Amino acid sequence: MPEPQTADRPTGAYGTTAPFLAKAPPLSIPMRHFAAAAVAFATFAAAFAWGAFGHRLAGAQFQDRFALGLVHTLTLGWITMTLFGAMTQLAPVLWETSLVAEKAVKAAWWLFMIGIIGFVGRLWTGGEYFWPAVPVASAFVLYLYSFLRTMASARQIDWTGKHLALSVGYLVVLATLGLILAYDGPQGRLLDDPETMLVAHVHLALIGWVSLAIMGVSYRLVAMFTLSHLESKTPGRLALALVNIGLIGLTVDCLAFGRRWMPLWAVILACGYAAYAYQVRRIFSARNRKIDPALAYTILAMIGGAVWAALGLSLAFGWLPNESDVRAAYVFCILVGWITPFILGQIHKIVPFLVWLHVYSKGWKPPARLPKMEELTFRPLIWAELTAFAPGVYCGIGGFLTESNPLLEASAALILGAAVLYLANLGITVRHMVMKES
Amino acid sequence: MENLKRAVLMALKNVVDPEVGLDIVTMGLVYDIAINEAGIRVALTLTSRGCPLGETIGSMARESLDGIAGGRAVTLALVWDPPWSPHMITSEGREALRI
Repeated sequence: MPEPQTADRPTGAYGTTAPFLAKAPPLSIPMRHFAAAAVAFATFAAAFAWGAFGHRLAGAQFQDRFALGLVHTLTLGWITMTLFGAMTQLAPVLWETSLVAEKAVKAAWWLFMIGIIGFVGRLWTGGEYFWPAVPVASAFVLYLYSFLRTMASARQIDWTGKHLALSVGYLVVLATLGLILAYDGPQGRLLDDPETMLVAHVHLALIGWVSLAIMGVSYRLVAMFTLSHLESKTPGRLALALVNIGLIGLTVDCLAFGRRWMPLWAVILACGYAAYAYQVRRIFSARNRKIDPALAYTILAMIGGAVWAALGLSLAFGWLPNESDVRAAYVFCILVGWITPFILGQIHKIVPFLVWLHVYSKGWKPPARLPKMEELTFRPLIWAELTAFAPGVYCGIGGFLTESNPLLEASAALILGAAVLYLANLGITVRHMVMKES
Repeated sequence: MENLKRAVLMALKNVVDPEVGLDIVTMGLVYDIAINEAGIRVALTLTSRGCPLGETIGSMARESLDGIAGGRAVTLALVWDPPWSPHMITSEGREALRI
């Protein structure tokens, strides 16, 4: 055994109760976010199927209200709701502190729910959609208040934390642009060319807010789940720099210069993604675990990210026509091909962990055997979910690119099947909360 | 003392990482066990700083050791040097993980 060096924590810091459980937010805080997000994912899948089988998707314009509703069901309801839930749990643990302002987070959740239902509802049923965007923005303010105060009390901000802090900064900018776009609406009250602002809003959301958060989280969680170690962070540091340069350049170019240098930003962002992918590849190369469904989802996400970068370059350089079907394929690829599989994979780890931590580890007495996290799930059903989801992604991208209704129908059917299986898989894990009580 | 040290190791084997499925001894997270008349001191590490299981593993280890301490004081020290790496997993553990 190696000789231990000085502990940086007082000897005997562990009590007989679990101090971590006292620090972590109540189980209900992350779980309410994950539950709402799962409902949003299922709603998206059902609406996507309705649109695909009703032939409303192929050739739809970017400003089409049904398509905008689909996109915001995913971006707000599924992705952002999941990110907020994960951050309430992850930030205190990473930063060795407690979640500050729990009541503000609970209030934010309600506001966010009301805002999402109102915003997407108005997009789908007609009418103004600025006012429902106000509770969404108000919820962001409350989440930011809690997040920044938690960060202020941190013992140290690690690499993942820096990614999260940057992504939250982009959230502020994208939300501001989103409010302006919602106010401008179909009437064009403020903007002569809303499309340039829309392009900035979309990229700030999907790259600045979501992808940066995913990158930071993946360095921590994927390394942990693969039992791998980051021996060098150089590719990741390069990725962080390139993604920020590319995104800031793209945003300024969109807002001030009418998108003159889009190929340059596309190249920088694609290089940033390549550096990130190389860092993740190194994590996988040094792994000490077999590939499980969650890790397979991560690999699927990495492939989706590469396809998204290729589509972005093709659009920027004009290799593919800058038309609505190609742009729809691009947005679908980033949302459903890159971000969604990453989230699905992590949730299949995080939710069993939370249930194990809060339900099984409390009151443990040796030598009682506790279930492993794997035993709180039914892996064949998660593999089945992945098996349905993966071809659904590529049928969808192909369907939008070729404006093929049969491909879009196949995609919608497969993604709807995956969403149903996802809900079933979550139910299998969550029922342990009830089983243990009884 | 050797018997007690063996008992300490056996007690710590009750503490299992629920994600990996290995106990903390097999994972190589137990760096040192020192026993004297006054008490038992165990130096533990975690797979990484900010490990979400860290405090829970600590309290489970204490719960396990309290049962066999026989009146001795139990001290757990969390140490970070040397940093844990997967190479510290025992051969038995590596076989279980099929590395």
